[in-house]
Amino acid sequence: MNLWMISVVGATCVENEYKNGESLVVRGLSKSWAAHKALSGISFGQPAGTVFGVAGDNGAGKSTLLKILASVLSRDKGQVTFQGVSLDERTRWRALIGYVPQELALDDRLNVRETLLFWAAARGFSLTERKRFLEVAASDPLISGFLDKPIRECSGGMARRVSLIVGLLGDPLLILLDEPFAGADHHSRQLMLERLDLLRKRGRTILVSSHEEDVLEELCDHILCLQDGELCTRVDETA
Amino acid sequence: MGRCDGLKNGSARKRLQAFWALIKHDLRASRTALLVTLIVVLLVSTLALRVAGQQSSSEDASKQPDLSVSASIIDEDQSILGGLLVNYLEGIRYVTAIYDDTLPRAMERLQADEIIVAFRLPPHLLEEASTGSLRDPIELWLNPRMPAESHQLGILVRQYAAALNYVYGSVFGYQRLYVELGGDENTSWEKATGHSLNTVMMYIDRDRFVKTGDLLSFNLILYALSGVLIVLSLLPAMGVLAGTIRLAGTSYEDRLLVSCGPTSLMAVRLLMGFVWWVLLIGPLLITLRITGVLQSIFAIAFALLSVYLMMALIMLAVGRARAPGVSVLQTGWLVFFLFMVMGGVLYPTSLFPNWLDQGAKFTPLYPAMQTIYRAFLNRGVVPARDVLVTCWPLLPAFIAALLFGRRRV
Repeated sequence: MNLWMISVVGATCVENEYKNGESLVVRGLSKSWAAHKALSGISFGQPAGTVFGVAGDNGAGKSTLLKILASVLSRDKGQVTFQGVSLDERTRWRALIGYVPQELALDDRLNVRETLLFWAAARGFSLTERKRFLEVAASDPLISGFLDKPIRECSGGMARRVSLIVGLLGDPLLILLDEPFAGADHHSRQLMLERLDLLRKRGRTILVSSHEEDVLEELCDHILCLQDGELCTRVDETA
Repeated sequence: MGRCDGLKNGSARKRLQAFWALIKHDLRASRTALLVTLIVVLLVSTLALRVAGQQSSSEDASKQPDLSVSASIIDEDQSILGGLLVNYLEGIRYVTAIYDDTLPRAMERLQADEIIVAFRLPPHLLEEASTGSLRDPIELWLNPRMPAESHQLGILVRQYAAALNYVYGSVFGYQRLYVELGGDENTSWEKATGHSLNTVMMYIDRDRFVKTGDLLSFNLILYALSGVLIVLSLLPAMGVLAGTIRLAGTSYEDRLLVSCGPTSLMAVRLLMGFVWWVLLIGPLLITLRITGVLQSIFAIAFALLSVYLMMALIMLAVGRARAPGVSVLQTGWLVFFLFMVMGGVLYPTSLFPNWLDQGAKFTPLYPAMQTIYRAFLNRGVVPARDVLVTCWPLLPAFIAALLFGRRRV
């Protein structure tokens, strides 16, 4: 099996004790913007090796939930743990997660190769690890065809694929994806779905938000439906 | 061993890797601007070299007093008092010339900028002084084209006037003191006389109000050069502000935050500002050192670095204000100009009203401006204490950056 990016750094083993139980545990998570309640008492548990989808209309609180879990936004109330590590232990938490924000968040002055090298270094990869990483990237079907293309010249789908790869740097155990397929063409979408499926099989815990329910239904084990900051339904799907 | 433990162990190394990656990325992004700035700074250094060289050769700082005062005395009735005053003033080391003039002649000298001040002693001053009841005041004309010197002289005159009033109050008021004291007549007489003599001694102590370094001569070129260096030191701090605003709250910053944490982001901005500071200040200081305008550049460099760090730390905090980017940028520039004006970078604070002049001494840039200007007057040499004083604003600025400058989560 070709592991591509996911085995670049260190051991890729997942702590088995969480494999069957709940790996990500969210209890009573709330967040308000002044009078507006963005999230209200959200609770759910997600086992390792599963993909959960977060569905909902615009303004339902999908991005807010993912930003809080990515530790880039504070919460008002609630407990969040992943494999026993609390969200309050920020340094340890950030070492465990990979975050792909809704916007591309890439420097369009760089080409894809430079972008990967930059984010690998920013993630703390040593020079040797970065070289190894680039060697692996050269054969990764997600990006291998356009490594020397400047980001500003990449299509929406290409840029989304680069953004996903950047989010997967360091082989994170918890992967948070905020609208990762927005603007991606069918081919790019399929490649990304295949990669996420592969990561699930490798035991990664994946939370992906999207307002495209058909994509979520195709990919996810479970879908969390958000409406006005509250969890409304939980639709079980077979991956 | 768990994965988290492994990550924790290598966390310092990873942070360092991340830090250098961010620095290299920012340096690469600014390389064109850095190169253009370097060329401009080298050109300016060459120009400064010529101007400063001319200025330093025209002055011999070791022979010049700190303050040069030339004055005219207009004694209407040519009394002995006028003569005594001329003799007294001629003996003071910072008085370069004293003219015994008529009023029209003194006005001509003022117009021609030969003198800074003209004193007019009214007729019958001696007779009135002997009785302790002056009817006509002593008049002073100060040169409006020399505001800084006139201001310094005004302070001196006020101090001498206070001492003279004290003498008057003592010498002519001892009878009243005697009445108030009561008791032994001899003791009263001795106390009153002793008190009067003390104040007279205070008055005739010529250097009492002016000690070396208390008053600075005003050299426009060196003052402007000090101001320019401070402005150049402050500009990289505005770059820190711009960088903070540009990234604040963006997904790009979120991603950086997850990758390398908030401390690296702050440290990288400060270090990038430092790179700009070195580029802007380094060549100029080296030029001044090579030309001999400065014997040592360390004191000035230290003070300028302190200025940059202070402002950069403040801008880290300002940049995090929850307001639209344009408003935050405007606030930053407002702070920039306020500090410059109040610190005496644009104009000497002696031009301000007295209360504002006193208040300006407690502003962050004032000690740096004074130290750098003094250093220029002394060819770069200033006491270590004066240099260290420039650091006091760093502590509150550091606290502000720590409290408000970090990316809040």
